[in-house]
Amino acid sequence: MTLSANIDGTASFPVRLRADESAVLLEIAQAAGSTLELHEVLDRVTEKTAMLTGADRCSLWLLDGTHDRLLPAAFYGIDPSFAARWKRKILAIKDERLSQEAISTGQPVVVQDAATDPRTDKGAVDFFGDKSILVVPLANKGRVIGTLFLNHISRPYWYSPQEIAVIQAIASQSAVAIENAQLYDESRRQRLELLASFRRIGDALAAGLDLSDTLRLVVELATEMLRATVGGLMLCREDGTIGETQWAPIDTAGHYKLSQHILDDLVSEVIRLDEPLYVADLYERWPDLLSKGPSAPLRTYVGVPLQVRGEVIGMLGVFHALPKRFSPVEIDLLASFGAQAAIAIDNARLFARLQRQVEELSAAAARNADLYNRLQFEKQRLDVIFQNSTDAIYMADRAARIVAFNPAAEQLSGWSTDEAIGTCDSDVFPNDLECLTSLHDATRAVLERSASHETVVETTILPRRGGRRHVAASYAYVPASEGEGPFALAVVRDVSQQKEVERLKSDFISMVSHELRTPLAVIKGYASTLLNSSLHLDVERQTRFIRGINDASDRLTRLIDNLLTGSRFESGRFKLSLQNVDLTEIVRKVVLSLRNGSTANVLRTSLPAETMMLRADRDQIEHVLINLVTNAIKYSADGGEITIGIRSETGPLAPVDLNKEDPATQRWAVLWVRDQGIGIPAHQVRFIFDKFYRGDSPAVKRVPGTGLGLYICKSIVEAHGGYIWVESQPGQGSTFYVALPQE
Amino acid sequence: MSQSILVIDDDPDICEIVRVNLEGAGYTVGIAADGAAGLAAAQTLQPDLIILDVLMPELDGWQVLEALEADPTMAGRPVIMVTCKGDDQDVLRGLSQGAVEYFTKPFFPENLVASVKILLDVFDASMRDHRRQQLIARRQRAIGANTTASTPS
Repeated sequence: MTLSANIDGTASFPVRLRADESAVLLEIAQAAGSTLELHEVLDRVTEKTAMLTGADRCSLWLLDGTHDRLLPAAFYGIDPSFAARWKRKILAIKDERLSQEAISTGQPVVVQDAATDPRTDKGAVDFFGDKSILVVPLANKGRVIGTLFLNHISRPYWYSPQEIAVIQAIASQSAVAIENAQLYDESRRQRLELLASFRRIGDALAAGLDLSDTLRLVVELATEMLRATVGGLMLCREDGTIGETQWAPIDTAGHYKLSQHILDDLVSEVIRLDEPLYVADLYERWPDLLSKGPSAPLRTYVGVPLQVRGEVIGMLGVFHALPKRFSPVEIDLLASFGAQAAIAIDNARLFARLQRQVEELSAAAARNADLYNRLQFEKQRLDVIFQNSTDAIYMADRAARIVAFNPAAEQLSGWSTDEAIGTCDSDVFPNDLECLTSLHDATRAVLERSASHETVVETTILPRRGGRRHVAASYAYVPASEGEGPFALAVVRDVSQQKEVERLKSDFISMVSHELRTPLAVIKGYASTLLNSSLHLDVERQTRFIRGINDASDRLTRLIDNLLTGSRFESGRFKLSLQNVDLTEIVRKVVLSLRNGSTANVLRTSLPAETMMLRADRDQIEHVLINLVTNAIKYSADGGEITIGIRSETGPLAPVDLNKEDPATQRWAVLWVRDQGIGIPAHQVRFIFDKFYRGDSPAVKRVPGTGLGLYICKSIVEAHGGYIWVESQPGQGSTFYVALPQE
Repeated sequence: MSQSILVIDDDPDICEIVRVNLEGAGYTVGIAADGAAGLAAAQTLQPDLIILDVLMPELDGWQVLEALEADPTMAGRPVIMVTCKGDDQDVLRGLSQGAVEYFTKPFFPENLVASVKILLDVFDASMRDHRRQQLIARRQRAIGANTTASTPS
């Protein structure tokens, strides 16, 4: 039913409305404009409209996004307990004919008699007791956003055209206020969402999210916030070129894949412009997308540059499958989000870099610790070598002052480490002046050449405690490191003993050669002479010559025996053939045979009357005795007396440095040979049984000998489990003792 | 009067052998049993030739040789070394110090007698010296040394 004018007798607007239309509108505008809270705006519009129009009930409904439903927004004049239920009511436009009409025509719909009008919802009319109903579309600039219901219950109401015009104006004013509030609400929602997004990014970063996770989160949030189909984030590479784009949601099916050149175009434009870029429809820009594009194309694009400290670091963009989807507000939103995201990304990158540095540092620290441990280990090993080396090791600085000194060096030099450190090596290892090079010279040479040449010197040093040591030193150059050095490292080996052995060997060879040649010369000389018929030798001479040959042969035989016995001891092939022998008898026999020889010395014996039985190798014991007696003869002047004796002893033998573990009941047969010869200096006594050893005095040197005799005696005696030792006074003579165990 | 020869050796058997062989060849032979006695006998006897051992008590052969060369009355008198020391170095040393012949033990007594005869009857002083230099050169070649006669090792 259309509006009827001038129907009197019905209810009418309050006086104020009639009196001043503009004042009414102002009041509505003020009421609506006093707040931006949507629900408050709605409540006030509803309330004011009801009060101004005198309607019993007023309700406001808003179209939802689909434009086919009306959602309850505000009520006035309904019992509050009922309003709550009513507020959950949703009107489908197709079922709500009044609203349908108002929205489709854009004009108010007047229902004079609700009970009979076919357009009304009879249930509601009955329930509320509605008499008349006015439905006004809420429209702003031709856009309908909802409907306003004015219900009269107590009596029917007839609206004048003027009143309807005023109510329309009210509705229009209200629509503006509501839209404003809605916009405000939306922007506030977006802002809140933005803040929430920032917080999520912040939380994610705080939770130690890595860069790629942060990027994905940024894209996800941007896509979500703008309700876009897909979003992408590109970070420039370090050289400023366009990098990989991170997509979200991850489009596994590849539906939305854009041609790389389109993406590149968009991205580079955003970067070039350095401000947001909005492309309402990509098809307009790239028409060929239609023909060649993927199955589910992307139409709208908005992208914003990501800036940090005035520098573009990338692009954040979102796409929508439908064209023209993003509003300027959303573009601004994305820009704000992009600005914040850029900072977050930068933070994440800095964090990642920091983390990488921390990792590198800790890795380096771990490596250092490892290295340190290994160095410690090496050092310990070197220390062990250094401390336990039998070679003296020392290190000297540029001034040849000693900086390291090992125990063997202490031993060799007679200097303690404390004394040696800081002292010049020429003081610690003074040189025998007979030697041309000193250790000190070598140290200097090594340090001057500044290189680790093979430097080996042999020289003789004079140890603190006296004497001389022959040493071979090898040098190494230790380069400067960490402000220390360079150093010369010397390994000094005491080769005195080696030298001595070499000397003994060479002496031995010339001695053997002499010892062999002399009897041989005698044999050959006599034999040649005997054969020389022109000499006409008489029988007496011939006999003498033959005896000479015989004696020389004996001498040769003894020498060869000694050499062979010595060599058997050396090779471990020496075997005793033990039998019961009478030592007294052996002595008698040997003395007798030596007396028969042409000796110029007096041989005496001091023998017990009874036998002295023991288990021994007769030949070897004879050998010992012959060696001792011929020695005594060799080192005695002509006519010197030599006494050979035997006695019996029980328990530990007199010389303390011999037997240690023999039982107190052990019985010994002691054989002794005393001479009145040159004697043995005290310092040589401990060497005389050594192989090849010969005294170095001229008195000894002029007596031929191999240096084997006493060594062989000692070996034979010890093979019998016995002992040999000597007591001697230089110039007065020596007594050699041989103790052999009796069972 | 026959030519006289002094034998200085501490080995009585060697002395006996040399003496018998030289006397058989007509020489007068004197014996000394050590270096010191040998040097004294040389000065007393003024022998025409000396036969000298090296390894001896008191003075050794080298010292005797040195003392003989240093003595103007003895210098240039032929000396024959008869010794066990047979190294090239030893031989060179003996020749360098003035010995004209060097026998290493064991030796053939006939060869020694022959050498004595040649040195005394055939060679004059300059020939002996020439012979000595030849022997030195030969030994030096043998040991490959550039040791000179005047600086024995």
